[in-house]
Amino acid sequence: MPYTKRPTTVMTKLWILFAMLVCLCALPVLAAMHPLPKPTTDVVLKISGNLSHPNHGDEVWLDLDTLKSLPSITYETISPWNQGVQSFTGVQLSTLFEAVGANPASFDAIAMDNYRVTLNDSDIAGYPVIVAYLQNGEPISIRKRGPLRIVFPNSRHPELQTTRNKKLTVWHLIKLELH
Amino acid sequence: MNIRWAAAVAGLIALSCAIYLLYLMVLIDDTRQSLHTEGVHEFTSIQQIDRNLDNLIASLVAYRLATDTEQVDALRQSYITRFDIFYSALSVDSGWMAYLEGNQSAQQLIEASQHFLSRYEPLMNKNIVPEESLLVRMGEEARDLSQKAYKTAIALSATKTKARDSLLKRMARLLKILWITGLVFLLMTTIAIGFLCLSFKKAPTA
Repeated sequence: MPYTKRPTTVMTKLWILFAMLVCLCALPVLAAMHPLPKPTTDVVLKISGNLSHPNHGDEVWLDLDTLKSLPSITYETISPWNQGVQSFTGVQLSTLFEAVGANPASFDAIAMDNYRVTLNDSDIAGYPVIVAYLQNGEPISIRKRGPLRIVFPNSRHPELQTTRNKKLTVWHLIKLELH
Repeated sequence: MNIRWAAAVAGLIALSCAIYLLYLMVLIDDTRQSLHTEGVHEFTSIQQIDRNLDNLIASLVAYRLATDTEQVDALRQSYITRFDIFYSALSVDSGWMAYLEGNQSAQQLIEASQHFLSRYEPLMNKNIVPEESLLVRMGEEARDLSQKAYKTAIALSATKTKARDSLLKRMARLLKILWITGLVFLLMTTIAIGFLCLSFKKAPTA
C-alpha cells in the first residue's frame, strides 16, 4: 500500500505547487486589470485617451502616493534643464501605460503652462524614459520644474541628446493624452 | 622615367586633395554644429517667458475679480503657482539660460524679470492677502515684461534668421568645394594609377 500511496502524494504536492505558481504569476496580471485607486490627495497627473482602466470618468487621475506605489527606477543623468549630473527617480512610461491599460502609438505630454508636445512610441521604445517625481532623492517643487518631469537617460544613451529630445523633456508635467 | 614622375605628381596632388578633404570634413562638421544649436532654443525660451507672464497676468486678474471666499483662496493659490512657474523658468540652474548668453535684449529681459521676481516674492504666501494696489502694479509690470518678451522674441527671430541663412550659405559653399576637391582627387588618382600601369608595361622585364 505505501508504494501505491507515495506517488499520489508527490503528485498532489506538485499540483499544489503548480497552482501556487500560477496564482503568483497571475497576481500582477490581475492587479493590472484593476484600475488604480482614486486620488485621495492633490491630483498630480491626469491620463486621458485610449486606456482601459479609468478611475475617474474615462480618465485616470493620479495623486503622488499612487504614482509612488508603482514600480520605480532611479538613475543618474545629465538633463538639458539642469547643470551637472542629477539623480532622478520615477515611474517608467511603459509601466505607467501598463498600469492604466494602455499601449499608445503616440501621446501628448502637457505641462502646467500649456506646453504640449507629441511623443511617439519610437521616442521611448527601448529606453527607460521616466515620469520623475524625485530629483536627487527630494520631491521636485514647482520652482524646480516639478512636481513631475519627463526624463530621458541621456548619460547612458548619448544618442538621446538630440534637439528633438530636449523638446520632449517636459517639465511641470500635468497631463498625458494617449492616442 | 617621365611617366613615373607624372604618376608621382598626380599621386601627390591626389594626396593633397585627400588631406584637404579631411580638413573640409572638419569645417562642415563645425558648420553643422553651429546650425544645430542656432536659434531654436533661444526663441522657445523667450516664448516661454512671455507665455508664463500672460498666465500670471490672467491669474492675477481672476483673483482680483473673485468675490466668493472659497474661490478667492483657490485663486490666490493659482497666482502663487503661476508665479512659481515663472520663477522656475528663470531659476539659476536653468541649463537653457546659456542659450540666451550674448543676446543683449534677452539678457535685459532676464534681469528685469529677476528684479520682478525678487520684488514680489514676499507676497507669494497663501496666508498673505496683498493690497489691491500692489496687485494692480504687479499686473502692470508683468504686462510690461510680457511686451518686452514679445519684442525680444521678434528681434531674436530676425537675427537668428539672418544667422541661419549665412550658415546655410556657408554649408552650400563648403559642399561645392567638397565636390570639386572630391572630383579632382578621383581624377588624379585615376591618372596616377594609369601612369603606374603604363610604367609597369614599359619597364624592362628581366
